[in-house]
Amino acid sequence: MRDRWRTAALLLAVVVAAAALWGRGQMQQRRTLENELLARYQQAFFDAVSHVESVEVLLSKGLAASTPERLADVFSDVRLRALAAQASFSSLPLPAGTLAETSKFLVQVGDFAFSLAKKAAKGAPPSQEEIDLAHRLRQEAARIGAALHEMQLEAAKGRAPWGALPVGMRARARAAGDAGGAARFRAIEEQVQKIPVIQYDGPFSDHVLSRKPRGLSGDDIDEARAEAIALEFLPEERRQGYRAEARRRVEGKIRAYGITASPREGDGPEVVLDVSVTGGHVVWMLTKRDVAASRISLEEAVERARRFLEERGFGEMEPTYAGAAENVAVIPFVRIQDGVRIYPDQVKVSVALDDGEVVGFEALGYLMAHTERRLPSPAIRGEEAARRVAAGLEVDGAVRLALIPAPAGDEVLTWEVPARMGDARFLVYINALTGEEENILRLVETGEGAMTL
Amino acid sequence: MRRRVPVALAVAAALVLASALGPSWFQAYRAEAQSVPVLRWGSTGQAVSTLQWRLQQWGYYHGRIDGVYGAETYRAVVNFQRKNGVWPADGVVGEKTWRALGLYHAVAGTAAPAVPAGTSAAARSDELELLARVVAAEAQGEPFEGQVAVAAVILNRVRDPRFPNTLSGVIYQPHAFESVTNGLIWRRTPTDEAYRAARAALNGWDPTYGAIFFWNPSKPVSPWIWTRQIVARIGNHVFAV
Repeated sequence: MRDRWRTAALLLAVVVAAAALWGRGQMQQRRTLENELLARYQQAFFDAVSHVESVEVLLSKGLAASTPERLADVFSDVRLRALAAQASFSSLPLPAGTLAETSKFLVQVGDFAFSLAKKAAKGAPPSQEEIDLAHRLRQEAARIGAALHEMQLEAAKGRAPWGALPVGMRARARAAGDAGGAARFRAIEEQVQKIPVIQYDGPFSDHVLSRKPRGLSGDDIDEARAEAIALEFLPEERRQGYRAEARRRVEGKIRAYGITASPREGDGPEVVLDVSVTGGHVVWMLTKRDVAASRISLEEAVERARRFLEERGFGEMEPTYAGAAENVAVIPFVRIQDGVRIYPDQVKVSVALDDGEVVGFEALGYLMAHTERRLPSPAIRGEEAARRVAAGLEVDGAVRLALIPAPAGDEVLTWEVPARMGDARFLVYINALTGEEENILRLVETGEGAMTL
Repeated sequence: MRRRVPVALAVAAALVLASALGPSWFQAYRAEAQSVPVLRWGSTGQAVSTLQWRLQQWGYYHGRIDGVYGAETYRAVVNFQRKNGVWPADGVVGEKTWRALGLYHAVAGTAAPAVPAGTSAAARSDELELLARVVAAEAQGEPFEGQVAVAAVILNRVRDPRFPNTLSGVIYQPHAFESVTNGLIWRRTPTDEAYRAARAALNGWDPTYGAIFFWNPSKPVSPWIWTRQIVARIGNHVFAV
């Protein structure tokens, strides 16, 4: 009997010892992982701090620069550093949204500096407002830099400034973190939120980010009217025997009714589409069906899409491209005004290649941009624009007029010049008023069926 | 229609110019070149099951879905190839047949690449793959437009100055997506629907009109998120700016 107890006790001791050993191994492993992860976070944090400090230094150097070359050089570096800082900040393990405004501030600083660099490259000095804005942004960057520097001193001693630690120690970390680190990041964020609107000549300027739709004409409509419009808009295949019902509301940049169209009885796919409250424009449509193997050609798909738009009163529109993937073709159309391609006024139509039904429509960009425009007449001729493309490029096709969006939200009349360099094909956009090169796009091959139009 | 290019060319122009949405604009129509598994008599494995399943769905195959390419599968494949103009109709399932089956992207990348993937070519396909994975992990079971909306939110973040400016940066940002934190994004294989939704979003469909947050109101979320302005509700998700 005693022997048996002894054996049991011995066995238990062995088991406990084994478990303890195993647990120790596990803990060591976890600690190693945790340390590796912490090292990554530390690196990201230290990087971020040094980038922010560089942004401040470079901004002041740019303001001190006396030649456009130097200025362009320094301000290009500002952008590089600002974007790097943003990338580092966003890899820190902070609760969602903690540094959202700080990120935005950094991107805007970089974007603004880049707009000055581009101007300087054309030989134009910054205006007084731009100099003032640069001073203001420099001060803000300095303030953020100082706050970060303080945190860095503590981080160097191993006290991580972020809230949630990884594996395991969540609860403890959260308690410690919110008292210390995350709260201090939040303090920076609150400081940044007080910075007034930043307006300049670039894509992330506050006036571009808060753009309102221009293409919504007409009075507000009610739900019943929206349902009727939706039903009218459906492809012929679906109009018969379908009923439309407003099931959702959208309160975004555009207010809209979310409509679901479904067969009154029997089978048939649902079609979902949004109809704007103002003016009753269809914003987008999707038909929820599977598409079998392709039976019709891309050309036919383009034709179907064209007819779809024509029947819905879209006026003069021209397809620019057709691409197929998984048996569905997507075809963008742009508006034509006085023979000019208006690229901002673009809608997309998708066509099922098995039976040619239009299964998708998208006009958000169109509704944001469309307006009655007065186009300037070009100051230079097409042949002249074609001569202005880079020496290494060979003009490859007819030039045509195109209105394209500029980064800061305005629109530029250009000559679109198709060109090639070896195998690579490009579209070069030459400003039709000044002759400056506005943009270059490279045409890229796709494996699946596609064509330029 | 002025020109038809033999090796098809994609013009990013229209999309790009019209949206002018910053650095991500060029990615929408990039090349796709990936290796797909080639199946023939005797092949086995997951890809064969996928093939059999689709052939059965479309009424070509009536056998068991067992992942073994045998006589019955062969007949079904040849039959499918003949009816859909895939030439030669030799029962070998290669790129063309996968495409005709609408499964190209579901199987692409499951075979080892024959050549090192070209930079832009890989980028485009990887982007679709990554996006489809997030859609599958975050929005499976949601209505199709809800899946498109989730994909659109991710793409909107790429263009938003408050978020990283790459797709991978947005998806792997710490604490950004539950499914990345808990690993679901790697465990769940995207359905065809998820790929379609990801593709629609890449092509510009955005049922949220520019939303950058989404969450399921019936699940616990950070109280901070409720301070955002909600713009739409689709299925079980709310979308906010």
